[in-house]
Amino acid sequence: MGEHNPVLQVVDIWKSFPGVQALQSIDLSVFPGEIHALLGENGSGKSTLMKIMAGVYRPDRGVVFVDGSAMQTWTPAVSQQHGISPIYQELSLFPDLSVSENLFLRQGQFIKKGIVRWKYIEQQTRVLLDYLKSGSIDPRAKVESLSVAQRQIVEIVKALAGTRARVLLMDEPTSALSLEEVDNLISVMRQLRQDGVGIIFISHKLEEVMRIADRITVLRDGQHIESGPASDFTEDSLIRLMIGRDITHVGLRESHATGEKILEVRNIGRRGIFREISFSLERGEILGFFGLVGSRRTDVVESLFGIGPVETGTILVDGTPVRMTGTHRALACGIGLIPEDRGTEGLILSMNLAENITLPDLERTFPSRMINRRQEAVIAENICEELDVKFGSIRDLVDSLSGGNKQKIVLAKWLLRKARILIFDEPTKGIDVGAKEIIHHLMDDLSRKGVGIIMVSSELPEILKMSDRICVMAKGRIVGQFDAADATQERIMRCASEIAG
Amino acid sequence: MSIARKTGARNRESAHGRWRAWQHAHSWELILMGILVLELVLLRIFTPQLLSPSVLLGISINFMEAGIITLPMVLVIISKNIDVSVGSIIALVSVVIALCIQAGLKEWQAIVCALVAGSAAGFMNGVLTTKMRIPSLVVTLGTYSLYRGIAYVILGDQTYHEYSESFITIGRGNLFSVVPVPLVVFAVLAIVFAFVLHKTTFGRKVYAIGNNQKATLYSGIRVDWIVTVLFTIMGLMTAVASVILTSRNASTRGNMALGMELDVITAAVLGGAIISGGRGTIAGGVIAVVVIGLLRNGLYAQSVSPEIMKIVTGSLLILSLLMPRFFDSGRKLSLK
Amino acid sequence: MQVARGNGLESRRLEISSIRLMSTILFILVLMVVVVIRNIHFLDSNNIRAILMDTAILGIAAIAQLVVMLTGNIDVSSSSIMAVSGFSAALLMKSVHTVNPLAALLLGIVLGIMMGALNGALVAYGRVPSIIVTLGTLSIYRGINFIISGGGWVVSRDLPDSFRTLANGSLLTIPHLLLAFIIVALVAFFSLKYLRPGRYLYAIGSHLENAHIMGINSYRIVFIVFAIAGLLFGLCGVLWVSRFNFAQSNTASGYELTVIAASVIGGTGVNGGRGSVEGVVLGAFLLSFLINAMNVANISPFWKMAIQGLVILLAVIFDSYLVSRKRR
Repeated sequence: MGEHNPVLQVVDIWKSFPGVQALQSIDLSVFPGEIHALLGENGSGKSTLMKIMAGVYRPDRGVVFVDGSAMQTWTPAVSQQHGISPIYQELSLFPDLSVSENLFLRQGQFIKKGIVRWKYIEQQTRVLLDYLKSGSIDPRAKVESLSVAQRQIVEIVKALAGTRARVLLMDEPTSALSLEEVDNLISVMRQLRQDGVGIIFISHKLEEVMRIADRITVLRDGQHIESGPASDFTEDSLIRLMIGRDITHVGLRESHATGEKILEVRNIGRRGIFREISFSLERGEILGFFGLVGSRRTDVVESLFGIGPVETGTILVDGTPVRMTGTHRALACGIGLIPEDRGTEGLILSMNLAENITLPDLERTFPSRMINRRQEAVIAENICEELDVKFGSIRDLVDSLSGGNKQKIVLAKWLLRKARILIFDEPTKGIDVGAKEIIHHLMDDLSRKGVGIIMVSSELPEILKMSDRICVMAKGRIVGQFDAADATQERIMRCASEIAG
Repeated sequence: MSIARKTGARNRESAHGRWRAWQHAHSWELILMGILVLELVLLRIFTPQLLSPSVLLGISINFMEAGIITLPMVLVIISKNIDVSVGSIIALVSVVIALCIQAGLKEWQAIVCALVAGSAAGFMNGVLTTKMRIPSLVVTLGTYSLYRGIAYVILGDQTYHEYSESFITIGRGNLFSVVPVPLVVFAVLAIVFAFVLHKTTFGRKVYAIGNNQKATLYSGIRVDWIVTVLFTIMGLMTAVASVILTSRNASTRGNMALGMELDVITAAVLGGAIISGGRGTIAGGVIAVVVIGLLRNGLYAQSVSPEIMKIVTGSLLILSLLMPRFFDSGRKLSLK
Repeated sequence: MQVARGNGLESRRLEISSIRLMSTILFILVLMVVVVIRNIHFLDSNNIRAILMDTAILGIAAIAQLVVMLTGNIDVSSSSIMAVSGFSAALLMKSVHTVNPLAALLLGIVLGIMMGALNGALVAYGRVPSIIVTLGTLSIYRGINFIISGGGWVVSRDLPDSFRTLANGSLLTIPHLLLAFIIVALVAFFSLKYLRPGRYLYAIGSHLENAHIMGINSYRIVFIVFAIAGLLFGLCGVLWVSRFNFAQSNTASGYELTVIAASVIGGTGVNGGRGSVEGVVLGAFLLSFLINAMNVANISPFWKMAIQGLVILLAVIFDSYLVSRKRR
């Protein structure tokens, strides 16, 4: 750990997106041989900051320094050249090529006099892997046969194989890993630190952070809150800093739950993904699903919608067991899903508003199976008006709408369908504050009308504000269920971070 | 507020605006019509004898089989799939007809068997594509070989031509002694397909699948089932075409309709169906069929050999995909 | 406390390509045993020679198909390129008896390169999907062959003996055709395994986007790959015509499916990124052996097409099964 100058330093960084000020006047330094944790809630700006450091985003204001010199241009290519390496989980690897090939394909050492030196690169790979105590990975294995954890290691090694990485940027590196794999990764990080590599990583797992970080920086709402050596913090103090001073309930919503169970999930599981999931949902109830990255909430709720198999356990809708063989089954049971990825899963961007809205309900809208565009337009316009969607013409392509309005169209589909159970997966992700309020209001309205809602969210304030009950998930299991009255941000966070007590 | 919103939205679509929008949406078909007109002009100059109604009707039968198959091909391509096995299905179905007739079945029974056989062949294509998750190109390359192979196994080198007069009238007969039966069949089917694709919920689903299969699945639509149905219909229509072709030639041969998939795919693609899915119209396909049919006959009248025609068709296929690139120059790389 | 996870640690042995290779070998062995049991005289020198010569031609073409498919593309115009190259070479020899047959070979190869380059240009730079391009050129080149041949044939008596020796003559008792195949296979094996551009083919087929991000010029590479395939198809075509001393307007018609079948049996992935020269050679051998065995057993040659189709389907279904097993 050095008292040298920082390898990478960002000063006075500002960044905004439409409707959102993501970062305000952020300073951050990464020293060689230091493991620096970047903490913050969802929306605190930490991912944005990482992307700026990787050169993927350009800051509105502020400067990036490498070894004390200000960088005129800062792009992914330039940052890589300077040894700043973002570590993805598997995105930059070629699945059909071997580990050693992935590492060296573009390196000069790959060939000698034009010929690939397999023995040499396999040897080098082995050396690098051993150095990171990951000798169990076979350099000749094809990447597609590796587990996610192993691919991550390969990504790290790749950063070391080329222009020697000096700073590694890791975003939630342990999210998909088992405990053993996490231990492995941590020892890899320690080895790197010993060799003078600086690591900055984002994590929600406070326990791990306390284990490995040398310094910690906390962001909240785009602002820098505090930085300091890890020894200055405790898990509790960190939570408090991340959340803010007000750690009591934020405006409790009045529950509209009727007590009548419309959905019951008993012990469902899918090997390797989630298990022993049991919960129930009442009419008019909003059930919040909180969890950190990798908790597998999306897999669970999608399985309720017929996407992805349910291998064990039962799902009961209105008391009747149902086998969710496909999405059509879910729809028949009155279940709808507003997916996390609006653009690719929730909407067909190249089709217009009316077409998108009627898609799940074509049979009922047109019992004769014949499409009447005028009738369709009127129906769609009515729904859009109910939801107060801002649009030009009902025949505009859905792609032309803003994020918040797109979300409303996804919702419109299920309103038309008169879904009785709605699953919202990160309903307000990437949506500005004003539109957030509107979506929340709509959800409340729906619950008042008796719709049962399951809301998956990573935003604590949202979970606390909207839910009648909260399920907390971690690593594919439910680790806690709370009633709204008993829930506090602290308790939920600790539950999700799997902190004992 | 609600009334204002409704009428406001409608008013925004002024008559002129709607006309412009229609033009834009159908620009491809309009270009095709232009090409058709150009063709007619050229024919008038070089082979005016071709342009008499009776001659036109007469020569139309040369291209109706391909035309009939083009209709479901448009739907298949819209759904982001492809079928290169159609020529082989024609051969196979024709062999089934021959077998039935030979076994003493009545003609209508043989035709029913043929339709069933074609549908089964198409169904197999569909199942392999959806349930086995194999790209439709590869599946239909395999069945291209398999289906025709089966036809060859049964038929060998021979030609079967024991077809009765009544059977032959299907392909060679005229309705009201003026309009050839194949043309009528094509016209009727074209109307049916246009109706189904553009006016029914089924057609809407096909477009949705081609535009974004995942989002369509997430809207509760049974994508696999619909795609399988498309391939089955393809098989059925191919069987219809086979009946007509067999009857018209009064023969069943192992190498019949060899290469027909090229004609069909060219017609569909020229008609505006895009290989990457989501776009295409029956109207465009029909116009393309007419364009290609006229071109064929026009060249034939100039004593151009069928082999040269192949060159022309092949070039036409490639050109119809190259052209959009000049209009839409930001097209992303898609080497696959 | 952990959720069960697939372990991937000892998976090298279970890799799909090794499984495929081994299953192909297994099939060949089973087939050989079955055939030899039924007819012990199957393995006489004539049959062996026929099988090897068939394998040689099919093998060269299948290797060409391999390199194209590795990048995630497909080429169904192979048979037409072979026809044009073969017929042109024969025509040259027929017109000028005294010319060195190698000149005819060169002509065929150059024509093949040109035709392949056109394919490549349309796919890589015209951005037209390879199935469309090669479906089109399948017809266009076949039509060109018809023009060149005028619908006729070039028969043995029109050709000087020197032409025959191109394929059939031998060096140290090994027929030239076989030698050509061995050379092509060795060069291909070496290039795909030991040359960086060869590895790029796998990268492009495996993950096109990442290949771009890493700065690999995939357009140029795909263009060159199609040109090389054209070269090999051209070579194949001339050797084919030389072997039988006979060229016609529909030489090798329908062969494109056989080539794809050999490639696919050998484990070439249809989505790109997967396949090997060894696999393809084995696939070519398996198919040739099968066809010859059927001939000898008096199974009508008309079964060939059906079996080819069946084999393609079985191979891709098997592949699909293996991939879905791998997926966690």
